[in-house]
Amino acid sequence: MKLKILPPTLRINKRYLVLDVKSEVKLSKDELVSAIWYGCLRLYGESETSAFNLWLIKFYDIADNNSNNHDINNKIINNDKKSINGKNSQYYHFKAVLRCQRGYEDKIRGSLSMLSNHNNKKIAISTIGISGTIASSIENFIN
Amino acid sequence: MKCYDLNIKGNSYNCNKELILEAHRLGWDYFNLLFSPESYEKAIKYKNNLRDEIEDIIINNLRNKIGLEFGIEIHPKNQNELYKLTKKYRNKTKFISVLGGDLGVNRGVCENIQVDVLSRPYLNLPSCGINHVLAKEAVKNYVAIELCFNDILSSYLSYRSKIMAHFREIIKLHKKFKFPLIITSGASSIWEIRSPRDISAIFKYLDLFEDEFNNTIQNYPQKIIEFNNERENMIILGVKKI
Amino acid sequence: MITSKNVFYHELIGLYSKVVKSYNEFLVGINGNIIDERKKTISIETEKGVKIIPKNVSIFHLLLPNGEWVEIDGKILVNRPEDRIKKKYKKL
Repeated sequence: MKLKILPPTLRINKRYLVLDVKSEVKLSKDELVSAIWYGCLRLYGESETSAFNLWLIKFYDIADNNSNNHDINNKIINNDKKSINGKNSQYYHFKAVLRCQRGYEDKIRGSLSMLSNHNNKKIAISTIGISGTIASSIENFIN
Repeated sequence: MKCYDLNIKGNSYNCNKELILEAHRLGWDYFNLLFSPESYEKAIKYKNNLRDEIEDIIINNLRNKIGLEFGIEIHPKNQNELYKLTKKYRNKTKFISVLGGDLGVNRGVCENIQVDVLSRPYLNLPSCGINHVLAKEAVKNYVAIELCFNDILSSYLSYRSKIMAHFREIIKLHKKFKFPLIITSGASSIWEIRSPRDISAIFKYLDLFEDEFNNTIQNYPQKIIEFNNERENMIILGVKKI
Repeated sequence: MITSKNVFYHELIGLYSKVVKSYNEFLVGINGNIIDERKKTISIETEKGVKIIPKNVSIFHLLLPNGEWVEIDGKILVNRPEDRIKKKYKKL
């Protein structure tokens, strides 16, 4: 007998957040997932996070320009890669697509941007877009 | 919408450039770099250079032109020092912000029409640093009260939640007395910059809703900047040369 | 000597003035010499007769004898003319 699938009215509504991740060390997908969960659990606690329905869908490493990707036009503007004033200005740059439940986008956004370090390494996550499907999120915000 | 960031910590030339480019990428349009009085005189000399160089880099961008202004942040210990310092620097710069953290200083700033911004009144205090009396004075003299996003970003656990409680208190007073409230990033490196919508998402859960938040990063800063540009022509509040 | 620095202490009668902003839209644009001043109103002599303008809701442009134009918010003029000189204003 053919199994009945869940009717559309009962399915969970999803939204896809496009994240822009800066990190001091090279991140793997699993590390980013743990960082995201850590951030959400820290700000909203276990009961609230249970409703978030978090799932990391896609993970992109924006490899080539990890030293000067703050330049919008991908021009090389900072030829000397010396650290300025003892601060290291270089970072690794990633983008990711995160699935979450509809209606909780703002809470997730907030808790991700409140994350300043993970495993004693600096990390900065900011959300650059929200969309309803994976395809459109990639088309609009990653390419 | 134009997003104003009135508090970015100034540093060396390259550091400033990097910070502004990163902030511009995340959606900010106007940057106010704050310096201590000693380093301000050195910094003001390269202001035009910095603006030209940044505009060269982002020339292909479709968004509005960026604004750039340098200001002074002073740290007075008591009220007498506050009056001296504001008198001394008012004519030299277009933007004066005073670091709070002492009830006497907070009071002095709110009553002083020469100051633009009271920065972080809750600093090192058990309470939020302002009350109904200071709020009324701030409305009268148009002194903005600044909440610094970096304060909650760089702290953690109990300390963070206490600061968030202070924010709630100040926002509550803001809703009642309608004094100008501004929210800034207070970033000193690229790790501390977030996009305006991200900060809005956090303040939504501190009871500051979207239209009120838009005021704090757009309308109030705009008014402060316009007023400061007019300040030279004004003799007293309400009298202006044309 | 009336200058822009002391105009708000000074006698206003005789100055040419223009109403540029008011809560009452019909007052905007009235111009002429000031011929009288009371605690809450200013009388302006126009071609169509004397008009009485309330101070606290209007903004005026005044032409000083040395050729300067000054914009004044009527709210700071609300006082009897002889008492205005005693009032203290905060410096910007």
